[in-house]
Amino acid sequence: MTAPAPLSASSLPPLSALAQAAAAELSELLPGRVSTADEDRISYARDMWPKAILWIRQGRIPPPPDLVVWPGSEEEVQKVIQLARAHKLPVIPFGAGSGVCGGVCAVRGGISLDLKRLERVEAVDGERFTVDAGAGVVGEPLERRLNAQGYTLGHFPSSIYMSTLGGWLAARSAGQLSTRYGKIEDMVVSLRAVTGRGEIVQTPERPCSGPDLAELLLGSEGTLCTFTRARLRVHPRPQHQAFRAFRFRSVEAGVEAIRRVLRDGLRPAAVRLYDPFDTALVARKKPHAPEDVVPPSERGILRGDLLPLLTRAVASRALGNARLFNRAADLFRRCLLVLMFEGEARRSLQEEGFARELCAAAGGADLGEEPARRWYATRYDVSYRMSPVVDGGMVADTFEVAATWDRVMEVYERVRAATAPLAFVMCHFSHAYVEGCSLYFSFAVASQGGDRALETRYDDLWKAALAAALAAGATISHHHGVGLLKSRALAEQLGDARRMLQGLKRALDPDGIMNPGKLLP
Amino acid sequence: MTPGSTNGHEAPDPLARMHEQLRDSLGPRYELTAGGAARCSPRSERELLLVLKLVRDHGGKLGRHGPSGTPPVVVSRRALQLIGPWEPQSATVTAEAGALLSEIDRGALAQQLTVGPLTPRALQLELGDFLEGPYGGLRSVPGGRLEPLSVGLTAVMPDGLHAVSRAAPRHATGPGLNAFFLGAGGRMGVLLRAQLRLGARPIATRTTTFSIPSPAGLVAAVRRALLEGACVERLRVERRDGRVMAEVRFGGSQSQIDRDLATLGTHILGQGGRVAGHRLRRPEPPPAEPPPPEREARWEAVAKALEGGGSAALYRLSVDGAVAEGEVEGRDLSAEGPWSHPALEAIAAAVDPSASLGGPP
Repeated sequence: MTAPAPLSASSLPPLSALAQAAAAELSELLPGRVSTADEDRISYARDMWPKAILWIRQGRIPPPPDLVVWPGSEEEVQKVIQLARAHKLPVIPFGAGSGVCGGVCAVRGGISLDLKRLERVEAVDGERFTVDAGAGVVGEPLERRLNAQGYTLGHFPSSIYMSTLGGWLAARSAGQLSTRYGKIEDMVVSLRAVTGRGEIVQTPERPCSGPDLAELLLGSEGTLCTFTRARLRVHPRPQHQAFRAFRFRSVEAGVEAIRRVLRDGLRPAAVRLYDPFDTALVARKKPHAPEDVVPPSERGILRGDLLPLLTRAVASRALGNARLFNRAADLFRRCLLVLMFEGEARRSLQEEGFARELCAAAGGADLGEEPARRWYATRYDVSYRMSPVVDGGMVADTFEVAATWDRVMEVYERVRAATAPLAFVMCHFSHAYVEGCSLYFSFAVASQGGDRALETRYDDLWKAALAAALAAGATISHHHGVGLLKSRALAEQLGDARRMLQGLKRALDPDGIMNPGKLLP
Repeated sequence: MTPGSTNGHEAPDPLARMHEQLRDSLGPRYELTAGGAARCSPRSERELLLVLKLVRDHGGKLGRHGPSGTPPVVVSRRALQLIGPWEPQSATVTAEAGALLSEIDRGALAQQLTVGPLTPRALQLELGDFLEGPYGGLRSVPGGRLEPLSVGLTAVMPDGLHAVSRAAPRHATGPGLNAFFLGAGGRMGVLLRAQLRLGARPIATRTTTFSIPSPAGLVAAVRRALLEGACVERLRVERRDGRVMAEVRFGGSQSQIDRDLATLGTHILGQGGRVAGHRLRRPEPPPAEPPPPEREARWEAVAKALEGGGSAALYRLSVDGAVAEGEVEGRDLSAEGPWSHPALEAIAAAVDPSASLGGPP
């Protein structure tokens, strides 16, 4: 593996005359809050998309914006978009940059619109259980402010320390306790946004007539509008949490247990079933007590445990033979299921008790509370430092899909089979619903041929993974979004229905200035 | 005489040609009605697609609620009533748009599943009308939320191509394209069939009556219980002797009912209420045919009605409101109203520039 190449600002594309004129006008509008500095353009050129990090290692700057602006109010956001529209200059809304699909790459340059100044959070409406919050507020401070008033949003993505409300809305984020509280779209009472027309839109609250406007904006990844504010459902802080973990002899048995728990009307806050190698890998920390496993957060496995281990002991050369590695993983059979219930004490204890009965009936061995408590304690055990991984000659990435229960096992098998020749792969099942769940695949890709070969292999991996998921009937994302990474696959998933998306784009962003190149190629 | 037809010396009116071709293609399933409008009852998806094509090709308009400009062609999907396949593992079923929800629910009985709880009027609707109409295809789910009954849809878009949404419990693949069809009155696409999320059929029900000092107390207790996960099939409320009487019907397994009753009971006690142990003064009326009108109401409107001495039966409870039968102000669910946001009209115009599906109401 070669040493990282230095980034050179000289490789930045020069500012166009149009961008310079826009920067001058914006500087009058937002004095001191407009930048064309090289370091800002480079910083805002990427999110946490592993491929962009690989590019950086190679000394290649992902497509940068021409300028970065920091509006402080919805009116200022509107003025920026109106000015951008007048100049036909792209606008790329930017939250905290935690996306993993290249959703902020400025493929046609333009204005990176950082929304973090829109961070105002109003007092909770304790009668209607709502809170109004600005799109720029970061997740953890928002939750902390709610907690101080005795409430919770119930939204706990592993990126909670480095993602914003606006980013959650733009990408249809899910938190680790989504089985109880729902995904972010389930929490929205109403939204405010500025469309590509430069118009402020507030979605109506129920009761209302006609199509659900919020549904047409959520998940638009900055391609139709930028969110400025949302009214969200909040819950009283839970009185109690009940934890339980189980071991199953197979993935099928564990999946069936989750299905039965949901069908029976139980509503755990967290549901996580780790596939055999995922389970075995984390259990290695306690070799003398195999039941006493430490379930990691999804990226904790890769970056905290798996990758350092592989880097040291096996190295990228061995991981280059991913098929062999995956066959070795097939030796493992046991799966760990983690459940957590929360809410009112009596109800959560009762539900946990019934879940125990259902899991036992499905063949689960009761491991007690401890593995689940450990998962909870390490649930944000996420390192965003991908660079050391890339320096080790590897790329780690994740792929989260969703399917109905009748397709879940087929999705699991087909994605594994398609990706096993290219990457080390493991999976956990979470975000459960009565009719299905999400499957979260973790990949480690290595190549002996240098950075370019690694990038080729990474691309091949994603092509294989997306094709397999589509063929098995899954949707290609449950909560990470589409961005640049999955845009071609989304077109395939939508088929002719992409015309509706194109119609939506024509209506709300007729000049095509909003985050071009994302969602649809 | 077909409306708009001309003598042989002038170019025939496209609408007249449309009517002729509709009549030729559908025979007795085509009927000309007052004002130059027409009613079609295609007996298959193929015939429905043909109707849509003829309307589109001749500059006609599909519609439901009377002409504005071009007289509409009103289409009944009642003949499209295939129900199945059932997918018991995922608790879903695929049904055509003309199937009645009550028929689907009867079929679900054999799988120990249900489409419910739905409101009495909703249960009498065709699936397509429930999904496209004022109900928006919504039902209540645990947590005090509303969720579409459909997990996947197949519709014909204005250009005649099919939109098929992939069945998945949730997604992060862009805007929710099902929203083009749900609650849209068929004005941005015509539903052909849907895959529906079902639930475990209740094996028991229990009705308990509570007495609470105030309407506000009732609303606060119900909201808290819904947030906690309690499910209520129906809530009948009225004022008596200055207090609010609330008759609550729970459904599910015995343990589920016990949990939900305990949760709601705790919050009602917290509001100074108690179990009254007897039914409401008014005896439960026999099921009306058709059921009384329903309105979507906010809890504030329910409380206001109770303050004024009104009574209501409430269904589809969520933290934000409920569907009410009775003396509660709210949105009438028997008629399509004007859309709640002008942006929706711009979207409809972009999706269907010729307004062949009728354009916004």
